[in-house]
Amino acid sequence: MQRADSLALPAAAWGSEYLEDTSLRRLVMEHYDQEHASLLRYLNCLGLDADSAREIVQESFLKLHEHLLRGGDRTNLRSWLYRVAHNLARNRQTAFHTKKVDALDALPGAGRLSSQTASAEEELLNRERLQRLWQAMGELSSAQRECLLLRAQGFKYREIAEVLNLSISAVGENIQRGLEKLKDLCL
Amino acid sequence: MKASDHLTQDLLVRALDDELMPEQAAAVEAHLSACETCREQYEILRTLSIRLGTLVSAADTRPDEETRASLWQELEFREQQPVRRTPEKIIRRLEWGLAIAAGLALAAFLVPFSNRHRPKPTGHSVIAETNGTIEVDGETFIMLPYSNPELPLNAPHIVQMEVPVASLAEAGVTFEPIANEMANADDSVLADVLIGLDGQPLGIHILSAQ
Repeated sequence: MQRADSLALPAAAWGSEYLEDTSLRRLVMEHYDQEHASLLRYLNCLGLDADSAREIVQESFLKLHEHLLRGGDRTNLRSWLYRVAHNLARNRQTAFHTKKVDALDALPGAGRLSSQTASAEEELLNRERLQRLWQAMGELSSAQRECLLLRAQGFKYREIAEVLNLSISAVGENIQRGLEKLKDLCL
Repeated sequence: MKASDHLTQDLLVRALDDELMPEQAAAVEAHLSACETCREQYEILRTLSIRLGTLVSAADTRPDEETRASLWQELEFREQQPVRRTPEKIIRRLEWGLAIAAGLALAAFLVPFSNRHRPKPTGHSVIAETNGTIEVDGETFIMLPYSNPELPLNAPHIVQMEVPVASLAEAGVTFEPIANEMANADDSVLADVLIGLDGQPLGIHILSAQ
């Protein structure tokens, strides 16, 4: 998976000349095209409904535009985006008292789990396994769940720490304990 | 590491996530090749991780051209009306913030003036947020009303600026009871202003009168 921060252009390209020649809008849209699907997946797994997740994704990219317009730090825009989206999601869950995924119900995208190569029996088994895993995720603490979801999106511990405002050691501990709990509940 | 000592779950997970130092990773690899119990545990964790990846990638993310088009239009509109934050705008914003937070701002004068020349925090700041104050690298700021509380607090920067006493007075903040030398409305006070990621003042720490 290509990562948004790998979009980094040569250092000279970030100068004012580049910004005059190329719209920040295009840069934001490049990030959008690369990251919006994985951001939506993350928000979906946090328990947000599809409409709220889409609104938060859009708001996050508008904030990215503001951030770039002010000459904000560009060293890891992927983490920055997730951090903003995560905080927006948390605020929304608090403000509207929506479910905080303590009780996860529907498996996200359950209809997309079918595989053309798997037999009907294998498919059913896979679906049951994932359903069990999804339910077990609801038994984890929110920090454990968030760390594991970000890890599943390919984030390193240092980046997860940046997104969730945790220490790297706390991230490691959450991942280890979360996996241990999932192992007990699912396997 | 003795072959008889099994690897901890923490080490196994970190090895799986490629989060170990090279020498630790080599030791874990050597142990795994010799210990079936740990190899089994490692495989269980790996399988679980793959399933988690499948679970997350199964989440519904159908392409949404409408959202993309709407974002494009909004960005286009914003680019035509760029908002540039100038120091004057920051100070105006500060006045607004102080109007609401006048009571809190008064408390800022109780903060000792001793750290006027201490170096500014760089890199990773240590932030603690408690009732109405934020502590950044040991410096306490009185929180101002903040338009974007959803933005993270872990990378603010601090700008030292002069804030006109007049603007504070307009906000209802008077200094006579606290220090006579601050009574002249033509004066300014030197303050550290904590700027959030969106460029807005997040907190203020009055350092001294000019």
